[in-house]
Amino acid sequence: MKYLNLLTLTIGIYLSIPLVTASYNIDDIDKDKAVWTDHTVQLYHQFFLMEAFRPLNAGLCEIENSGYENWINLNTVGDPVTKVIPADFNPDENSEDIFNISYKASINQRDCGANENNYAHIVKAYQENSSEPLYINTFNKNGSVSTAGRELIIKTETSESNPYGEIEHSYSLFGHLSNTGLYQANTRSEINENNTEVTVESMSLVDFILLNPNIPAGLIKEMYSSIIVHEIGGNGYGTITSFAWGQINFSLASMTDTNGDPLTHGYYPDGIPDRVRTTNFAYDDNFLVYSSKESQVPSSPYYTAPTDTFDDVCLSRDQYWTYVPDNLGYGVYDESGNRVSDNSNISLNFSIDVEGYGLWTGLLSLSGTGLNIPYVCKDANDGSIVSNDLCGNNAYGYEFFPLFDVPDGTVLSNDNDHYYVRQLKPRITFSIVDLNNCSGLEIQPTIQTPDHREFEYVESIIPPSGAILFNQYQNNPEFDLIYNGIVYIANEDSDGDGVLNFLDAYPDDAAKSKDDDYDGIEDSSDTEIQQAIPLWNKHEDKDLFDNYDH
Amino acid sequence: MYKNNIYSALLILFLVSCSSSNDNVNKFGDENSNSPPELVGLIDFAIDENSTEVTQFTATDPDNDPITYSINGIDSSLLTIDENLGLLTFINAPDYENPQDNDQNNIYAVNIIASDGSLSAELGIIIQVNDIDEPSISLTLSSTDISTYNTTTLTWTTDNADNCALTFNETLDVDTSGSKTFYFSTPGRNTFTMNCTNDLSSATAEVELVVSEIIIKKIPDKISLFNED
Repeated sequence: MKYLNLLTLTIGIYLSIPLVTASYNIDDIDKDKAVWTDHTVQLYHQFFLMEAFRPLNAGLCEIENSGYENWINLNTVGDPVTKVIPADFNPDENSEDIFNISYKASINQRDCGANENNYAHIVKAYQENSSEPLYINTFNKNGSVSTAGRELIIKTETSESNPYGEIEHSYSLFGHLSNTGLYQANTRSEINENNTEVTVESMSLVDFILLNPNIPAGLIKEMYSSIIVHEIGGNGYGTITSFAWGQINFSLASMTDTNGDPLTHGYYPDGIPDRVRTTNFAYDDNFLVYSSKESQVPSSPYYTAPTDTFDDVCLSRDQYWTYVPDNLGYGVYDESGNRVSDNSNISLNFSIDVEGYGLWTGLLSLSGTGLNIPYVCKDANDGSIVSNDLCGNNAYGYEFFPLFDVPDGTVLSNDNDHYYVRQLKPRITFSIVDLNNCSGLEIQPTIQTPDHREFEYVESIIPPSGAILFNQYQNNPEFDLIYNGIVYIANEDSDGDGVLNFLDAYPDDAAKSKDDDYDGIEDSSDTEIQQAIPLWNKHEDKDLFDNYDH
Repeated sequence: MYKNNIYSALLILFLVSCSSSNDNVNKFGDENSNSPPELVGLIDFAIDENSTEVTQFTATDPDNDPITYSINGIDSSLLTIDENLGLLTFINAPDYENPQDNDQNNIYAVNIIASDGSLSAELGIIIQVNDIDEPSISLTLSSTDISTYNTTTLTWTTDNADNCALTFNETLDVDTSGSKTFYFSTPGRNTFTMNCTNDLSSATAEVELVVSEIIIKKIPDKISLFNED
């Protein structure tokens, strides 16, 4: 049994924006406001399992949507469809770089689980020959706020017997406002010499500002480190270790001790993690069984929650349902497009017809990151509402979940004000199924997972590019908030300035053609052509595994 | 009017009698007796390489019988003669640097036969092929096989050429030596043809380039333990 993909549902609701009342027109709000720029990310209820794959899968989706195959190596001198070389193009008069220049693509990230914040991606694809690896780099400069870089190297394609192929993936998101790395993800799969096993190592580092923009960058971080050993043509097993620093509470207010002083147990990477969770798992083609042990680090003086252990939970690999968590799941915005504060003290009436429950009417308390939706016990197999007693007795397969989802695009109003609600962090929940389905799977002892020092940061200077050559919004310009669906023909010169579009960063302005640092100032007028280069602190001298047993 | 190909100095006037072994003439001198054709002419010719016409033979018949021409001999397969006009030509223009005659010495030997249907006359000739100062072309590619989205450079040199033209998709006038870079984004076989001329002759050279398609490695839809399709 499968369920409607929440992403599809979200898009459908997004399209039905008429929920917005006439007095609140979201289209009138500047495009640089948070209501437009806050990221939607498709998350998972079993985040501790999925983080080994989610960033890579999002990256694969983004690159698949980039049109790279038309521009590999790079085919910028020829029309991507006809492959016709411009008649006046003379390779003798151009540098070799002309075959390696990057191009701009406007990519529908919404389809990849991210929102419509579609700043152009700078894409560069290269493969020396048919037997060599495919390299694809993408860069995404999100105005002056952040820079994202991604590198994907396909050495061996995936196959039915080896779903991991031999692939390297690195992604870095750096916040320039805080001068801090916000997100880092790596995946590396490698086949052994005997061609019998493939080992997949993954790491990701998450700054909590991505989930809660009201918490300063760098304060709360989580790291996920995993290893999977997959028998080629067979099953697999592995370990995922997750660390959380500063995660006593999501609220910044609680990050002080009783004297009001900041907590001193420290932050990544020097501080002591509040929680370490070790999950061991085994899987076949259809099911995955895991056991998970979550505990405080013995030396942490602040975390007092009891050790939480899950033994042998069996998940379906292709059956899921979705929900939006009330806390950190939504973005709530005022009429200016700004997020409301987390302690807004605003409560508004809302009513909704809930399947299996009936009409719910009540007050929703608004915060910038959520709505206080009541929780009920649900069957984790399909999300159906069940008796709260089942959750109270910790019966297998039942958990508390929000009673309902507030639809994306809902406007909550009182007599004077309107507030716009977006679903920013919807979550997929893979179904918990009868344990007998996993009876043939044997969980292996914990495996040492990769250390954070194995991060490979994508720090390359963004290569120059010209006009938008590929635009997934070409037929849906209303969703292309920045480029309005436009796409240029590479080997034409739209503004007649003598610079072909694929080299022209200002294809409609004959007086301008270059902006190599992507700051919006044409290079001839730019007194400082300098890219905002991410300066990651790699913490290569820090060993996160020394201080505690995991 | 056919070109007079008398380039050689040797001039020999020859009277060739008809074949008499097949004597259809009435030995008693009947007025109905038939006489063989008479074939008189040069027996040593010379032509320049790269041309085909040799000369035109004319036989006469005392009886005014119609005459047909044919050839035989050791190199006759390389030439042809118009059976009515007697025009002798090479089937393919001879190349001095690549002689095709039996001795491979650029001297081609054939017999010209004129026949009135009953009796015939035969004239053995030789044709000397002269070397001329023709253009030569050397044509090379910097790499013989490339993959798509790469460039290759065609270089050429010539001797004795006054003009050259390169044909690839279109014909371009080019210098008699030089190079040109080509970018290929589509796979396939590509032929570059260079034709160079001087006042006397021309020469053509070809080189083929195979452009193989890069097989772009496929990006998987996703790599996950879980299926969200």
